[in-house]
Amino acid sequence: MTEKKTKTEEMTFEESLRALEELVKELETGGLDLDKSLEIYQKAIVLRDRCKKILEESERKVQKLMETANGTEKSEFNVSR
Amino acid sequence: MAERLTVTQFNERINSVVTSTSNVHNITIVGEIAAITGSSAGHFYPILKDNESSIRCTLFRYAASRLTFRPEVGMKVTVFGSASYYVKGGSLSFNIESMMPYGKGELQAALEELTARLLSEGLFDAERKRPIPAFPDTIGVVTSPTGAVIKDIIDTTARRFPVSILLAPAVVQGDGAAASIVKGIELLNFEGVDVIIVGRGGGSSEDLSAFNTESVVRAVALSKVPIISAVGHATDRTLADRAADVYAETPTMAATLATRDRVEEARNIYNLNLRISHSLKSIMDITRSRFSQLDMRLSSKNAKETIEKQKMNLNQLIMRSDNILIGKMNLYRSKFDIFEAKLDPRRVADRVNQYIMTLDDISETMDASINRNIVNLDRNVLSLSQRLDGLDPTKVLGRGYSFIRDADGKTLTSVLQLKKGNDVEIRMRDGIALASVKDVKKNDRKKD
Repeated sequence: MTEKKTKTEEMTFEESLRALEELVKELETGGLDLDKSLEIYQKAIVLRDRCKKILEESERKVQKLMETANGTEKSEFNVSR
Repeated sequence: MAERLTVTQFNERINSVVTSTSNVHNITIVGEIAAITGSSAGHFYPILKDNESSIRCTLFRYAASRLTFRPEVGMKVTVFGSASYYVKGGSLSFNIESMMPYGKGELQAALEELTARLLSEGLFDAERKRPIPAFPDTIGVVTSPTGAVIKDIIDTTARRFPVSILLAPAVVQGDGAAASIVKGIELLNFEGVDVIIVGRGGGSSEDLSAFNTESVVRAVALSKVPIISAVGHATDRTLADRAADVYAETPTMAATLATRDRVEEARNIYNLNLRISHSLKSIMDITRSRFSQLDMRLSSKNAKETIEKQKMNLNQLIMRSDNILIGKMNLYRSKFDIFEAKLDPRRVADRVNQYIMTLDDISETMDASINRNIVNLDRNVLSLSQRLDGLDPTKVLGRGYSFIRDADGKTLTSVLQLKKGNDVEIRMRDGIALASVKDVKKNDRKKD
């Protein structure tokens, strides 16, 4: 369970969204018993929250890539306004 | 005594003169290409001339890679560079940093030639275009670090979707622009970004020339990472725009193409969420109704009803079997009635009379036919006995005939049945004579 949770938290937005869509399809196909559908529901909620979190967190990097003698170097980039 | 130098010393002295003389450096020359040769290392050695003189030139590989056209003999060009002395060979040449076709006509012709060549190589083919990933983690940008382009891209992505940006600062116009753009594309490929935007703000078509160089177009086409170009304008697209996977008219549009709208995605997730709760609700409803059906079937009132129902069924069954029995009995009874009626004495007497009458008819017919037969028989017998009289052999014997029998009493009809010495008996009308055959003679007539 803990391992699974870590995995979801590492998923990209696209991966989470695809997984969420798959689960919804599975739920909608029907023929599932209550236990199984509750299990899927719980997974879907985790994925939904993951997607929401990615969308809502506006933290992101803008960096500048420079070539150096040892290869490349990244540094923070600020636009001069 | 005059100074004596080695060849090398002399050549070095000329070299120092050439290097230190500023008026042979950073010069622009106009001339016609009289000849041009290339080396396997990628360097070119053109000879430029005018009406009176010529000069050997060197076009090193790095400079050759920035050319926007293929230099050919007879072409008039403008070159920029410096005089350079080759000490070992003692030769002077003009080291070309950049070379452009001379005049607008030549520029245009050179661009057309490059376009045709890259087109025939398939660099602009639609089949080469790759899809842009929907949700990139990092967008690489090759552009000037100071222009409006990077600002627009950062602002647009910030508004649309949280995504990281990695800028490869580049010179986008003037000398060195092509090389710096190529380098930026290569570095971002190496960094493994998800998509690259190659961008440039507005400018005259001369300012776009770096994006029409062969090296930049090839770098765009060869990039492993999909490229969105936002260089030219709708009316003036560059070759880099044509080689890119997607062309955007502005940097803002390029950033829009590289990202999804956060609000739209949130709505999408909201809809998925709705669908989850709907299906879960319907699963719950189904489960509940299944449970309540079971519950109803288990209630005591229901059990009583069931027993009543079973009792009714049983009664119906009993009634039905009674009915069957009664039916059978009625059937037998009616069969018996028919049988009894058949035994009624009056009906029997009628039957007997009928039989008798029939019998009478039959015997009458029989009598008549028998009588007829007897008459016929009498007549037949008479005629037969008359014919029999004629056949009586003894009557024939009376007319002088006799017949012969052998020892076994068998009547003989041919002399062939006789041999000399055989004993025979001769039968005549009134008795028998015993005789023995003296000789046998057969008639000659074939008819016998």
